[in-house]
Amino acid sequence: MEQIDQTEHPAELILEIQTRSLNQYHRLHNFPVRIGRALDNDIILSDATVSSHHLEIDLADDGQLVIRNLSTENGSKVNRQTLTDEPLTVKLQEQPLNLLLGTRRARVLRSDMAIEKTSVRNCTGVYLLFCKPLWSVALMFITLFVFLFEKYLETVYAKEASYYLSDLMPYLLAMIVLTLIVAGISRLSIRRWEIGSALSFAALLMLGPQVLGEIGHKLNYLLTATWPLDWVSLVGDFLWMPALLYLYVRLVHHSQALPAIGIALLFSAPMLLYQASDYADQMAIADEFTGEAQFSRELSSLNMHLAPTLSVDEFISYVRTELKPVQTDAQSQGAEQE
Amino acid sequence: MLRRVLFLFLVCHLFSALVRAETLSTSLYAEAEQSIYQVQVVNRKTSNKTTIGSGFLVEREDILATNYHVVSDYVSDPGSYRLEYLSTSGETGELELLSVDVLHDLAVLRSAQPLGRPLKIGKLPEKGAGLYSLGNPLDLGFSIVSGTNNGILSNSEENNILFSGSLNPGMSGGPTLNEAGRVVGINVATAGDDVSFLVSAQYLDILLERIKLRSYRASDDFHSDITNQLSTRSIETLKRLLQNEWEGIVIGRFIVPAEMGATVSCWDGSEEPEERGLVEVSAASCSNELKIYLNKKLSVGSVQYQYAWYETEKMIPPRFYRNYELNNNSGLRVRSDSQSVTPFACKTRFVDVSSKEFKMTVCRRDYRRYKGLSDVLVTGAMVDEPKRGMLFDLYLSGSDFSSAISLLERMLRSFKWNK
Repeated sequence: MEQIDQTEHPAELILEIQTRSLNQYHRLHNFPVRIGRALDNDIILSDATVSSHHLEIDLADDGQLVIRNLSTENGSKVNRQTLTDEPLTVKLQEQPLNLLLGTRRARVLRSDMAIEKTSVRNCTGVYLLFCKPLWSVALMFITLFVFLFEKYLETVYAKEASYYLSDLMPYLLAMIVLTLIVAGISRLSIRRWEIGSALSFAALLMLGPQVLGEIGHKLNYLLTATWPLDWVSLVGDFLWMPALLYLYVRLVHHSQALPAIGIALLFSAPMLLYQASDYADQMAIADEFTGEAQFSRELSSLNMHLAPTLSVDEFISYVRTELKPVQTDAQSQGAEQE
Repeated sequence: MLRRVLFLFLVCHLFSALVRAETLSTSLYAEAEQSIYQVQVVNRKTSNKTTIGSGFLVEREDILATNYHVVSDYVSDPGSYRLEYLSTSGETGELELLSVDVLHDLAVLRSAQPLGRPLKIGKLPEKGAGLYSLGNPLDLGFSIVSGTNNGILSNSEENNILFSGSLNPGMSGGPTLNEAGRVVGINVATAGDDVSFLVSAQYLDILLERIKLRSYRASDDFHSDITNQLSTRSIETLKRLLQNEWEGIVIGRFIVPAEMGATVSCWDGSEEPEERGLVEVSAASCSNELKIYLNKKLSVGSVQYQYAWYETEKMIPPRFYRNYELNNNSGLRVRSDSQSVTPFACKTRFVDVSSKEFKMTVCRRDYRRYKGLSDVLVTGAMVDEPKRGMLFDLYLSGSDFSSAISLLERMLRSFKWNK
């Protein structure tokens, strides 16, 4: 009998009350255990949806759990099943027992239950950019420098240094605001400040489209085409932010891959929708016939291109053979008119 | 004392000249009254007029001449419109279109019954002679306008007559008479302030000859007539330009073709150096300033080309090229509508022009109704100098593609790099 007892109750029972980031755990010794908001309960649970006396857990002689709902307000559920006035007798197996008290989730666990592997802070590869404060600061300065250089390139007139400095300030402001928002959300969620990682995230978020745009421009010139920039911009507009969020959530919040993708998509959604509406507008404009010619207008001082340089002779015969008359419905239209 | 006498004499002389002119224009109007008509394009659905112009009887009692642009709506869409005349006495009737000449903006119409007295075509008098233009300005009533002959504009492809008199909308297609009452020109356009243009009556004479050969039968297909006229003109014009000796102008380090003939004129487009500017720009643009009117949305026949040289001392190459690229956008007006033309098809390649490398694009779009005619757009940018740039644009509208490419070929061969 004792042996059977040991195999059936080899471990203590534990009540896990789920609160974000760090859960509360209560060892269950003296049955019955009463849970509720009132201060005379065995386990006090200060959740507004929990009744003063909400739930009672008892241990029967055969080792089964007897769960009794005491709440007349929001009620309780065990493994998604609503408790009635009748107490529920249930055997605790390997799987924990999921409870819902009002809207508060809780689980009854066995102390010998296998727990998830420790999430190791993985500071290798691309994560280095988020882990090391030195990288965060470097990224911030690189981003500011890129924006400064961009401003310098597009200014046609000679300007004082203060002009460029004042132009840089909005970017710096945006980066800091972004950092604080991201770090603040992490602080609320995991109770830790992750300013460095958040700064890396903000800097990379701003830097990415700029760098991708430049790469697209150079590719356009290299290939004498117009599609590379379009495709690279598409990556910059739709994939860059979710990818960065994914990396950030994986590293800082130690999320699993799938939940991390979900969070990344959820938080990028407003940005993605904004970009999508922008693209929809652009497509509507592109569908309008303006009569403008579309071709690779890019010019580059590096002058790197794959297409060979033709002689005037070669170019003229190339144009003559490549630019054929467009088939039009002129004849049929003309006939109709007559 | 002497001065006063002279002055009096002058006044008397002027007065008598005025009286003479007045009596002449009175008699000319009285004579021509039976020969001039208003030509109307009428919407078949509503029977309301959409376009008005003037016209006159010529050669036969049932043959009217007017401008092509007066009847162009009808040519584009004869199903929706019909043509009518309105006489000075208020009679109306339907007209049939016999033939058009879009190059000289002429159209010849026929009425089912004889209308009045046809005018005769005469010779253009010497420069400075008086001319009398008839028509119905702004639908206000038939009028006569006196002015002066200032000769044929030999530096334009149209060879129009410059008439120093005031033409107004609605007078288009009306006759301009010499003092003998003969038609010397057809009212066609005005630049305002007594600067007006007449189509030389010799072109009407040629058109009437052609119609006579067809026994006054209407053309079978106006669109194919127009297409033939335009493509023949384009091929001949470009052939003539190619046969000419071309002048060269210096743009930066290049010598490039300037005027290709008398009909092309070039203007400087250089920019004044700006106070904090970092780039020096010298530029020129050339054009034949021709617009052959086809319809409200479409005019063709222009040949335009322009060059711009950019040079900097103070900019680093990426910064210079950023600015240079922004200018690589010809700014030529190439807008059109999808019913008239196909979208542009473009080909871009790098080309060695006089030992310098250019990124060169040729674009072509074809006219949907006028088969064989294309708009050809060429843009080139020198790309092998880090602190210097040269942009070249060429645009031909309503042109024969092959002839346009021949012109481009000769232009590129004429580029000379000046070390």
